[in-house]
Amino acid sequence: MTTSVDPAAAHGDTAAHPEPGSVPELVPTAEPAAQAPAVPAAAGPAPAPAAVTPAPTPAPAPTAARPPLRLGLTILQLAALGIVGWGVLSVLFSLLGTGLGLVLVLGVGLVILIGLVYALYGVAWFEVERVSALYRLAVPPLRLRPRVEPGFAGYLRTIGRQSIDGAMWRGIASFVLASVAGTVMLLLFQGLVWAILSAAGASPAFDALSGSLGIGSGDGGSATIGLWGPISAVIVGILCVAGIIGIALLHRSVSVGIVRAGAQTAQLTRQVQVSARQREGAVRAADLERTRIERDLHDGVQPRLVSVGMTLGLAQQKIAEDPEGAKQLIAEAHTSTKAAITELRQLARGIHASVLDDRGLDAALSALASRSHIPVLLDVRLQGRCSREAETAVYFAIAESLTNAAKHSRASECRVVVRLREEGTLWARVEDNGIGGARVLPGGGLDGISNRVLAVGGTVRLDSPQSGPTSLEVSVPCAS
Amino acid sequence: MRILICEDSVLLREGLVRLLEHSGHEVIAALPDTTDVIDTALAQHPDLCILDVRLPPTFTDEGIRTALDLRTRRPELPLLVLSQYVEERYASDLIAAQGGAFGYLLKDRVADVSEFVESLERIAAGATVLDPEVVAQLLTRRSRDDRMQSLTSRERTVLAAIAEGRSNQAIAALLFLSEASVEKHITSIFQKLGFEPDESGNRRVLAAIAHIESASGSTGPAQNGPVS
Repeated sequence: MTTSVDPAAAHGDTAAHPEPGSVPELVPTAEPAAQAPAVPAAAGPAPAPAAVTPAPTPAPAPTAARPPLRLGLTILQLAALGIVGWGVLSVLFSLLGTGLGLVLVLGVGLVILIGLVYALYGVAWFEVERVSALYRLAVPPLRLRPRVEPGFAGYLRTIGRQSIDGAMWRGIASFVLASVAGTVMLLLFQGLVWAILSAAGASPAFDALSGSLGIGSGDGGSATIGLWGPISAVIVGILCVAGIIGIALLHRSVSVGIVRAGAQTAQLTRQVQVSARQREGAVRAADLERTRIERDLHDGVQPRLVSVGMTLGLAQQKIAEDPEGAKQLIAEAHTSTKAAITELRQLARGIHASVLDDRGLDAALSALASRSHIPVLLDVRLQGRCSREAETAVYFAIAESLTNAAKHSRASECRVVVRLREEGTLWARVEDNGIGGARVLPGGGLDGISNRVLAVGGTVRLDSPQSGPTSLEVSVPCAS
Repeated sequence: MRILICEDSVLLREGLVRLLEHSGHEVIAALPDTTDVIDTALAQHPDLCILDVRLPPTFTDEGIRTALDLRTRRPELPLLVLSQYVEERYASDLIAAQGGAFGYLLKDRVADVSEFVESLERIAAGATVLDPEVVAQLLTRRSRDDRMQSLTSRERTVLAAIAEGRSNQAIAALLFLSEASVEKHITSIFQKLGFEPDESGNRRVLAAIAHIESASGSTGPAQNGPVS
């Protein structure tokens, strides 16, 4: 849900902003607002989250405005599907066969299978649109699964998930059933044509039929034939018409059922997916953070304290015969100890700031900004507070971005802008004038940020071209 | 002098007691939480009260709230707030609460024993001492103020040192300057910022802090000069 509104412009900010198209997006929940998971409003003065459009309501029952016309349309569509549907389905099957057959020639097979997934999606989308338009169902159009992970592997995973997408397969099922119904209907059309022809007296087919039915036994049958022919033709004709209408009505109830159930299921499925992704993000973020803390302790503070211990041990040995030397060693250990204390303090402060709880995000950013190795310009305008989760996620994202900038960007200045958007979104942007080229690496700082933000239902957008500048934007629901 | 301590960590509390008694001071009470701090301070009249910020039960800003409470009841009681982290918002609260001398320092400073004891004695004698970290934060938040912009970076360093409560002599030693050039810088800063030229001692520190604080608010940096 990355907004295309450039906040810089909205705030009289002259920061150049690149084309949105050039921005690789890490959009964890690429659902439009309508699909945003309903969030429990947090206590406190946090505004309500952006208006969430209600789930697609069950469509109004197809109006009986012009039933004959709709029936006619249904019959025509089914007839068309009876002819075309099988062609489409056989193309899909042959794609599947070819893809699987060539899967050893990995590149080619893979491309074909990816093409197959898109083709399946296209057919399902067409079917849902067709049924929705025909019966005036207000179901949302089918959508491709959003891409979650970056990179080619992430793309493949998304395609894999799309290939087992329930909503898509329901569309395909409806399409197959409609094709079957279309085929049966074409047969009934043939029967009807035959009946009309026989009723008109040209009955080459009638003999065959009466023969097979055992009606009329040769001699003296002409009168019988004269009587039976038109009657049976009319009966067959009526049966065929009834069959055609019956199939049209049956198709309607079946396809509407499938598509509508699909829409509701898709809605629920999407919500489940969003929740699952949020949970994954939360778990992964916690995991990454634990790893990072362990590494920081292991590489930084621990060896320092070990060296302090050694230095003091040496001083203890020296103290009798070389008090001056011992004094120097103790001074050294003292300095190292203070450095370890500072390191620990900064490590803990990066994980959580208690000032965040009682004074909010703005207050917590002061220490981050003043501690940064690169000069930081803070531009924070917040009225009121957001939920603890939202504030913590944004705090973490800013802390981590500043650490990243200090490590890799070679920037001479950073700028942190934080705003509370009208739609109830806490939005922050961290920019630096460094060399750019920031990438999301598994287990890296940006990965941690995106997981952390994902976990509270937010989005991250990174823009870091090779020669800079880098800007990272995060948006999280204020009352997440 | 007679000192009251409120610190929840046993190690640090005992360490402080030992350190202060070793330096020839008397610890009249060492309390693990804020429950009895106010009563003890009002009954026993200590010369200095040392408070931790994060204390039970919520471990957020109990110490600051107790300090502000003490300011209203006994404004003249010198306070030292010690904290694992310093926050400009807490410093602003303490500065805004009218009262006598106070200090706000990182706990890490305790490791520099002699400097720490010297700070205590200066606060008890009526000086204000702010941790360099918190001054740096205040300056970060104020960096867009027009009058601050007019200072050279050297002058800004000197202003920060003044706000920390250092004497000219100490500033000279810190920045490897002669005392004469420190005085020159200070005169220039006072002119640019519009201090009274004869501010000295603690009043000078408060003026520096007040200035750095002047546009401080929760709305971020002032866009057009200080917000009064």
